[in-house]
Amino acid sequence: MDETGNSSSAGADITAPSAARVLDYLLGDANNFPADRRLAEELQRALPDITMLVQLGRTFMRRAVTHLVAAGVRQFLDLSVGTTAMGNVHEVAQGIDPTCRVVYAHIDPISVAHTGRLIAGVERTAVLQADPRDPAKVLARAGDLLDLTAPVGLLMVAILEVLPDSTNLVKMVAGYRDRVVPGSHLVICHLTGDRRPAEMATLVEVMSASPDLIYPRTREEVVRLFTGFELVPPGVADAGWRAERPLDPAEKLTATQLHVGVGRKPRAGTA
Amino acid sequence: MTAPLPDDPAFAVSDCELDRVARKWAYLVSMLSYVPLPHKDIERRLRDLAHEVFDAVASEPPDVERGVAVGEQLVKMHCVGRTSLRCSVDVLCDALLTDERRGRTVGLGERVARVLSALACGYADSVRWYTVAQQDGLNQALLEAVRKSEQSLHAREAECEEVLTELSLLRNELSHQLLHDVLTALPNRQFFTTRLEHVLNMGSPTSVYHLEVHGLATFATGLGRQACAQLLRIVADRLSGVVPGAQAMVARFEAGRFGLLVESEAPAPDPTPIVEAIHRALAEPVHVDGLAVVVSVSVGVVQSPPYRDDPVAVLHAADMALRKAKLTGPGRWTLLEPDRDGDDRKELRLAATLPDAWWTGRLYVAFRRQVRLTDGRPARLDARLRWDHAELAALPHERCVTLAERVGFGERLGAWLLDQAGARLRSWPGELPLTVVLPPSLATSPDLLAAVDRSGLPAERLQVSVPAGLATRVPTAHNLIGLANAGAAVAVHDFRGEVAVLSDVPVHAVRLAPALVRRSAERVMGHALRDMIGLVHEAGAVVAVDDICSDSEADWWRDAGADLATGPLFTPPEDLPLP
Repeated sequence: MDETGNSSSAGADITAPSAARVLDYLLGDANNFPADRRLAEELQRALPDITMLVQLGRTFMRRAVTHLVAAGVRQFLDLSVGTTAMGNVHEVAQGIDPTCRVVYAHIDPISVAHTGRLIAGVERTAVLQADPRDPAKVLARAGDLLDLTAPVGLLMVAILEVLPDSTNLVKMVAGYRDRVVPGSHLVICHLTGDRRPAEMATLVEVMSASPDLIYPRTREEVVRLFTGFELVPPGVADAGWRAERPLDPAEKLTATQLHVGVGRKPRAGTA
Repeated sequence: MTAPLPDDPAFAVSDCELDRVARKWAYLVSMLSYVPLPHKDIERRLRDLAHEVFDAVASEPPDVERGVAVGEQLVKMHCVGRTSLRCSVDVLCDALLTDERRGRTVGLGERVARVLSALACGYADSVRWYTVAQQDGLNQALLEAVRKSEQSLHAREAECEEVLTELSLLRNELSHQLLHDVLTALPNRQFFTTRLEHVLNMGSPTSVYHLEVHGLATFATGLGRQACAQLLRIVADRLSGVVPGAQAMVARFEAGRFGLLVESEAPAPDPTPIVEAIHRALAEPVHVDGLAVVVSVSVGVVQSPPYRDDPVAVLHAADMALRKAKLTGPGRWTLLEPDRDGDDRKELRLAATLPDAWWTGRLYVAFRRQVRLTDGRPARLDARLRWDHAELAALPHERCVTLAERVGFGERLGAWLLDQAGARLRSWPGELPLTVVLPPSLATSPDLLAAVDRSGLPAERLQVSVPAGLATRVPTAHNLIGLANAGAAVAVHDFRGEVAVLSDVPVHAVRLAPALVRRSAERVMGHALRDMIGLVHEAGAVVAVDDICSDSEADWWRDAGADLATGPLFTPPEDLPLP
């Protein structure tokens, strides 16, 4: 199943920190193990604005989902490394329209179990353990809950940077694109070292203690992932994408460490 | 519950002030925590909470419970970032204390401190429960994940099993291929043998029919390989229908050979009905490539019992039975019985071990005198093979030749006989001429002249004898003319009246077939033999007879005109080894 050696997908290993649980800790929550907390603390020491960075990512996700619901999307496929305590995709989307359907697909079994507990009793929401690099399989299984003849919001937030360079991301994203109907949306949030290479190098280095290695990517690479999608204004931007309030100068600086964007699959022939 | 102090204007908070506080609070808190709400909603919620705090401070006494509730609300909103409590307290403190009018109120500081500490308590308590619940949940999730991964391990093991099952299917397929004939898809000899072994072990009375299609090589050459393959498939198909049911197995052995195994209730049932069924099944012409081909088979049958329950023995016997059936002619069948089979088997074993006997020196050349019937004096010598078998009586020349021919050893043995005779004759002091009785395969061999040459036998003392039946055939006749030209004498033996020999080949001597010699006492036969001797003499050849046992026999042959004789009557009676 997993050719990259990411042990996070190999089984439930709590002695190795996982990106999903480090993220959780950085967001102030307790769905994490000592190893995760140790790594998160280390990250915070090395990069004091890491918390801000993860918050910016999460907030972008919330805004993007909000935008998608406004654009008529009622189904979501979240491919993230895991859910966090609050404000996950289903909470955001169903908070606006309770009829929204959400499927989470995580590779890490603990993330799957955690999400499973989080969504216990929640209608129109499901979780499955799947490797996001296999679009055909993921969509086939998500198809139990999602209607693939209607638009789907594809959420690739907090996932792509843990996929190694050996993954052909363009092909992977295209695999999803080709299986969803026009009107579907792609949401991407990706770590980058374009503007603050030293800080990103530190992040990569600290995270190398985790099986979830971080692969920052350039703006061009992120833009390429939107091939076949029409980018929603302002296109691929930093985390200040459609901010609801003016960003603090510190936030502005931190926001440059993320490339985010929302694209819409146009009707055939109009791409 | 304590009531607010509505009368004290110092505590009244304006909408405008609340908006300002909420804006600042929301801004700072959203920097420190992921509050999953639209920013306007964050502001509205925090504005309500700020209002609560203001009211709590204004209450008499200060309403700490409301402070606690606000702390809890903050956690609920997920304002749980590392410094977000401090930030919240700072924002509220600022708003409550920096207002000039309110600042003058006695005891304000204490009121604010009590409410905000209650807020902090509520927050801390809430975070504690929140954390514990999350840790609990996470541990549950972990357990679940471990359980699932164990399940998937089991599933994977099951999958492995499945793969193994597939492997074993594959193995079955392979073993099918190993046990079946590719051309006809029938079981092969291997499978047949296993089945036979099984049936014999079960003690079931069993008949084995060993079939061979006649002239398969001719079909293959005449019709082509493809057509021949088709023919075999049709034969296989028809044979499969001969005995219905699981009590029978049809197998293809090799080339045109098939096996049919039939279990029966009673020992040794009459094989005739099944043989007839086989012939019936094949009676209809087989159509291949638009040609009607008529197929005939010979069938050898063995049954166990009476045969032992040993598959190798049974199969061997079936093979023998088939040979016998073939000898009797196409389309015939033979049921082999154990004792007859035993004789045949002994004969084959003898034939098979003859080359070894030769190699180990138990086969040698002996000489026998031919005597003149008129005066009883030796006239010439026969060079003959002799096998001193360890268990049997000494095997005479004729047996040795027959056995050697069965294993294709005749030509070599004949050449050796010539060599040996040549070697001995050179050291032989006497003057008697020598007759070498050749095996058929050497008689017909193009190498005969060379073999004679190699032996060093002096042509003037040599007489070469070939079977009369072969003498007029092309290779033998050429050999005989060649030998005559080289100065050697030519004789034929086993003469049964092949008169053409007398005119076609330069024959010096004719030895009558023992089968005829034995019947000299019969009236017609005696007459014929006398005439035959007359004919031979007319052709200028002498007549020899073997196996003369008594004086009366000798008298009869002398009277009939025979010239030379051998046999027990003449001393020494049998073959003499040369010194």
